[in-house]
Amino acid sequence: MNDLDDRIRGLIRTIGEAAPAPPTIDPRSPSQTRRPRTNGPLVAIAAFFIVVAGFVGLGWLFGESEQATPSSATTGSTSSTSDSPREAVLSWKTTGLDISDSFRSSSGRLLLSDDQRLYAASGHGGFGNFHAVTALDKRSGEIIWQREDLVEGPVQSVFLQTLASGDLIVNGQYDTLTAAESATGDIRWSFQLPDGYGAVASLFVESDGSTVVDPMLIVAAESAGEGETPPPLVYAFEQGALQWKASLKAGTALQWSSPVAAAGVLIVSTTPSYPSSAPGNIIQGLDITDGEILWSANLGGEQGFHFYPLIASGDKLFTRGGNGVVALTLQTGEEAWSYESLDAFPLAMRPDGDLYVVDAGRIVVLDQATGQETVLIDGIRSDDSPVGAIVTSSGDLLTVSPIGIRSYSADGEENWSWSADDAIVDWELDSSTAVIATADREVSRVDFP
Amino acid sequence: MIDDQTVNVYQKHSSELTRFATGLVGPSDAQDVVADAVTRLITAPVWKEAQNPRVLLYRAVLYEARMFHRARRRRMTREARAATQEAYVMSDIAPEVAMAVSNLSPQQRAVVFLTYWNDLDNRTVAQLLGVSEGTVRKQLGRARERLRRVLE
Repeated sequence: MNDLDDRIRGLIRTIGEAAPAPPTIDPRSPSQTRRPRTNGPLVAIAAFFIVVAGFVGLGWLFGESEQATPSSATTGSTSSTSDSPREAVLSWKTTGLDISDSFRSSSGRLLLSDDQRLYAASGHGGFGNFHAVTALDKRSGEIIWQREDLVEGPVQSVFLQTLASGDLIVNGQYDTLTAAESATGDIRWSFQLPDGYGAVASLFVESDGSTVVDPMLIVAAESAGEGETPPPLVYAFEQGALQWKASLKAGTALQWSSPVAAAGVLIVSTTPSYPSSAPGNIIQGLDITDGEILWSANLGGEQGFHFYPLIASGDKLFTRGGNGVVALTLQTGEEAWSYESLDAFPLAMRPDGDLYVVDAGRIVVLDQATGQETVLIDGIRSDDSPVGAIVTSSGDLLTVSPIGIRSYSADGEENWSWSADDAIVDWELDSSTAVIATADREVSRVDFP
Repeated sequence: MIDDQTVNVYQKHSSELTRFATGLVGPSDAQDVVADAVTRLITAPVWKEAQNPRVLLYRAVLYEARMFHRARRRRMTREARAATQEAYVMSDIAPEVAMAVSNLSPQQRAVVFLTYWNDLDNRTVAQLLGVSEGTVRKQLGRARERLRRVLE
């Protein structure tokens, strides 16, 4: 028990003591359940949802199978600054998929795709049919297969990844990791963590473009216990076979940012063991050939959990740390430069190696060598602030925010934008299409102008 | 027609369910959430076969709270395109308390409320909500960190 616990307990007590009297239920009819107080507009919303839930809600809650219906309906809207308006086109929409309504962190995926298929995982262990992984035809949105038995318990899903062999890696909330054949969903191999470790907390597929077999699969496992816990473990697999296993520094625990590798160094984001210590940002660099810890860098500054991307390029690692964005030298972990701003985090690399950074309603470009700032875009509304992005082969910047997608040229001019009809909770971008999952449990494909 | 057993089970748990809902959506909407959750649950086939009705009631309330937030988010997105965080209707609660809780997801609110109000351990919270202990621990850690930023 500490001061923070006391404060939280006091806060919860304040809320609990404000609870109104329970509604009464009428023994004559459940539809006449009485509500001592009602809020007019919310009654209408609740009524709407009772109707909708009659079709989908109880199944979601109690695990019945879902109806997924491809649709050609066009929703969303496009605007363009071009003289000849170009429009993004909603290619299909499939409903009834139990995508989590929590916005994804940088640590994993609810959606991913290959050339033919899109894979959607249910979520983070919610309440209902959260065991499912679904493969859809990328062109039509039709469901190809759906499995609810790939891992024991709910699918954690955020670490869904694909390997070159076509295996789909599925992570559960418990201690099992499974590789499934992506074309059929058939299980190819499973891996179980040792006693004392709860779940795979972080996963990364190393792909350097030169690997002809499966690239290396890096798995970082968190401890199952409370208080004094064993250090996180890192496993490296190739084609399902263990290559090496390493322990991270004692007294650390994994953060949620996905590991990254470059120049032979595997980067893992950790924190001092929590809750026994205050959370912080400790970046550890490992030799990717054998797991030896090469260096450890405590970024200090603002304390907090690390959800932000680790971006490795050239001889540097870029991430959020200290009181802003930092660049570390990959081989030593030494700080090359820092950009101080409490709201900033790295977004994507430009083709020239400089860094796109989101910073308080702006997108700025930081010089890779010096960290010097150039403001590229200003005046972005807070609700439209990018949370993910890619740079296309033509050099355009594609950003996704909770409300839509925007395309910018390299000099910051907006090419076009597309607004979603509902809050976007996960996405998969490439140069010509986006697949998005929304809070309404729909998955849609949007083809760009 | 509701049978007597259902009425008795509900009456036994109604106060704790309403407090739980208050922790999830605030006092202004707690009654609606509980009423809708119970109405839906007791008319479902699963209710008649329930081995542990209290667990189902808790999950139903949490489910209804999530639907409530989705509805609000949907409305705000469509009408204003101005909100990515659901508001926490706390007209009867101090603004600083409402602000602290508004940063938590429904699941985090559930875990925090059951831990700090009901004094349940992680295993019991996990059983009640139908998730793993690891998820409870992770959500509690995230919630504590978010609350720490506001409270300290």
